[in-house]
Amino acid sequence: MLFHTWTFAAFFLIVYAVYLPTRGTRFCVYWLWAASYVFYGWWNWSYLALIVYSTLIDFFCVRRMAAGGRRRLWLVISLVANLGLLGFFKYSTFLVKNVNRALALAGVTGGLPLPQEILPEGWQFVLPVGISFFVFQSLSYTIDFYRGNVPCEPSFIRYTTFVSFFPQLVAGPIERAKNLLGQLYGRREITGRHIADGMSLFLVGFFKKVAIADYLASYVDQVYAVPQLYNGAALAMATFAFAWQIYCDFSGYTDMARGIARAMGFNLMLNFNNPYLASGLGEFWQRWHISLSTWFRDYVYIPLGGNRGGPWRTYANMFVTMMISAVWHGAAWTFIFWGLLHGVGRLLTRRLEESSVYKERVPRFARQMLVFAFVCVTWVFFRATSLHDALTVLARMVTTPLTDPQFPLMGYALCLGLWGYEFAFESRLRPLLESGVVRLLTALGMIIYLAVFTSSRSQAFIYFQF
Amino acid sequence: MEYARQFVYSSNALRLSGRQWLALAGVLLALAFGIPAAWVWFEPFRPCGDYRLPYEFSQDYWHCARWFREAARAGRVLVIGDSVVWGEYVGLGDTLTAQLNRRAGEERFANLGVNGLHPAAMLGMLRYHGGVVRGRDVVVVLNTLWMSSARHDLREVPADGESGRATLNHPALVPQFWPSVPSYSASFEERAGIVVERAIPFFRWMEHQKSKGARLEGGGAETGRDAESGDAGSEPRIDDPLPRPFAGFSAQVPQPTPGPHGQPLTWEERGIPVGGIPWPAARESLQWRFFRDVIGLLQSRGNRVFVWVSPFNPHLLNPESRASHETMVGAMAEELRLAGVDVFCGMPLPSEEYADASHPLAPGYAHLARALWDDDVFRAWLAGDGRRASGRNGAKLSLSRQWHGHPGRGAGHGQDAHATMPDIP
Repeated sequence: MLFHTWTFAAFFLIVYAVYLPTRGTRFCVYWLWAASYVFYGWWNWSYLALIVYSTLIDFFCVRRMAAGGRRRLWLVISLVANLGLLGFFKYSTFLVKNVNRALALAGVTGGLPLPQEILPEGWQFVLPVGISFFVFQSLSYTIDFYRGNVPCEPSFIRYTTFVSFFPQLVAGPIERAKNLLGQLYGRREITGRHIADGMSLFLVGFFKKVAIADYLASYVDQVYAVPQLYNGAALAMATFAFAWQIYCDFSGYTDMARGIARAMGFNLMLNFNNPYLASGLGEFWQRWHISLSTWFRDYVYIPLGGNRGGPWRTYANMFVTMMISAVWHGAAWTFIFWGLLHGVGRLLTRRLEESSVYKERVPRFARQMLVFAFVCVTWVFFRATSLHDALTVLARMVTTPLTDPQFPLMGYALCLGLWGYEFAFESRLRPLLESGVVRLLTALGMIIYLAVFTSSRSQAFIYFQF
Repeated sequence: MEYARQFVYSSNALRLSGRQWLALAGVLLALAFGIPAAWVWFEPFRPCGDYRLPYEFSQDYWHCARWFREAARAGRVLVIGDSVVWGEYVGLGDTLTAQLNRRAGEERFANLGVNGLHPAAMLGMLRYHGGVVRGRDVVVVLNTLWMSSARHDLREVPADGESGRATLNHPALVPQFWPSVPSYSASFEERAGIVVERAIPFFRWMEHQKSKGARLEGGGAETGRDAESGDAGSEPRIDDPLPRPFAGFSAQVPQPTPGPHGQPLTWEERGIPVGGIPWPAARESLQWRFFRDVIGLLQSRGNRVFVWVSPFNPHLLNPESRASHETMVGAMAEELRLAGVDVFCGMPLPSEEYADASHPLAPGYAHLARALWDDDVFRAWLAGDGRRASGRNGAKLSLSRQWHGHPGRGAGHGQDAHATMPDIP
């Protein structure tokens, strides 16, 4: 069930109609839990077993920790159970394939069976939607309790609603118990402001997804399907378009999720903060997928020692965190290279970004363009279907003659229009954008654009696969 | 637990207040309903006497509604049906309505034929886009081709994976949720989208602009980008999926092409074999149920209705199939007659005057028009002496809620000349 579909609209209307009058009662949490499970089960009812498993494990482990003794043991059990689940569904095929390849190179015949080969007859091995998101969210509760940052949640139904809360269940933002679980207590205030904010956020997200991301996807898909047939200009434009496609796709989903939650009186965290205006790679990661970046900062980077062990240790910690983040995105060498580039880039530029020469002598706009260009190069690995394709794209970008990239005019208008808007928002023009007339006209223009140009056949969200 | 964080809106300024949302909704409503209504002032439309919808505009329901409105406003007799009325294999001057106009000596009959407009779609067309057809004289043409197979009759459930849109003409006109149409297997998304598009004239108007734009570009789905760029060297072309409706804004409403749409060959030249069609009993047919609803809807809007049953090609039916077809048509005609609706069953034509199972060629239309024009009941109906909307015996075809289990009526039930099938020439 995707947010931008009629199915979701019908689902939400039913959920909201019951939710509004009952939000101050105990029934409300049960209702949200049931709605969330229906929402997730809509993809595949068997997926529910996974979310129940993860929820039960963490709820039980925290209860045992709260009962006293062997806190570390229960934490380890939770980590192993959750990461084991994630590892099996997400990485086992990749690992087995690579092990088998290595065995074949060593002359060993046979090899390990693939996960799908050991399943019973008639079963299919699929990656459950959003597994990385709800596993991380549930895990954060266990770790936070272990650290004493949150109390033990006594209500299983409230806890399972926190893990499965439908607006952010399948693609984030990855919430912490400290923020979201607390909001499931008591009566939530819902005013006209909440509903207006929710609608505004939803409109922006809907526009980003349907008008921009889905439109750019057509161009990107055609070029990246056969990169060896295109020249540098088309490949560069496809990469540029993919940068905006993935940003609008993912941040559009997040905006819609936050809008839906806001209309229900909930407050989900900001997940994207105009990342393509970052003037450094460090800043980029503070603006891109903020809920995941902060998750890795709090649960990987800081436990590894953070920046407390001197520069070399700091670099090592940063690099390891970046690589784990890359692997979180998917089990493929392309993702590993994507993370590797970001990791190396971060190591090389950290000192530079902190230096006064860079900050004061290099114009901010130039720094922003440099960061954007670097991020685009890394997106090549993220988007390409294989390492070979990624290297083909990069090689052809610089070795082939300049030809018409066939990038549509509307593509330029959408990408540059959005970028220009973001620049204006972070400049002295911001008050102008915040004026009532400009807001109204912008919203009107977006809705008219959607009515005139968009197709009813939309695509799934890219980040669901993670 | 306490809330840990203050709400941060977003990294953009598009935050409307409740009042701004209301203002925006007002503007959008005005645009959604106002632009299509006002557009008729900017787009002149002067249909000629024998006008028929351009073939490419068969699914341009905004333009269909406009043509219906123009024809109704002119006080003409509206002839509604599928491609038999439209005239698939004949030119503009040889359609049924053109032949009737010739006999009437004036532009009296309007061709409201739409390609592929089966009875279920006809009901949708009249219900959602034909609201102007009120208090008029309407000839509704029943083509029994739509009962000739379970698929045509919408009773066949498509196989798994088979798109509902692919197996059904005018999916946007059939009932989306209720009553259920077994042959229509569109997803909830498609159905809900169609319902919304029906309710908001702006979307139909946009489709009209896109139809005009596509006609200008001459390629339907082809995009402007394709037409422009031919210098991409050896690189494959990259399609731009964006529709280009603006091209149609300045275009005029096209006139229909004067010639036939399909090759005017006989059914034998097309190699259509003789065979048997398992015709359903009238009460089993879903399309017949919809056709009854069409009549009921027209009557409820105060129209005077005349039904013309176009003659299915009997030459390609074996004797058993021909007999069961006659029984089916007889039962249908009788049911209509008992409901107070005048009916005329078109006489079967000579073999060489059929282009296929249901479409006549030009001489066939001339024969059919003459037979209809010479029919006393039709002439009386034209003169205003026919059965009124309420029916001679006070009966109306109500929108059929109790269709299933309705007893079939036998041929001996007050038969008259209009309910019997003429002999094959």
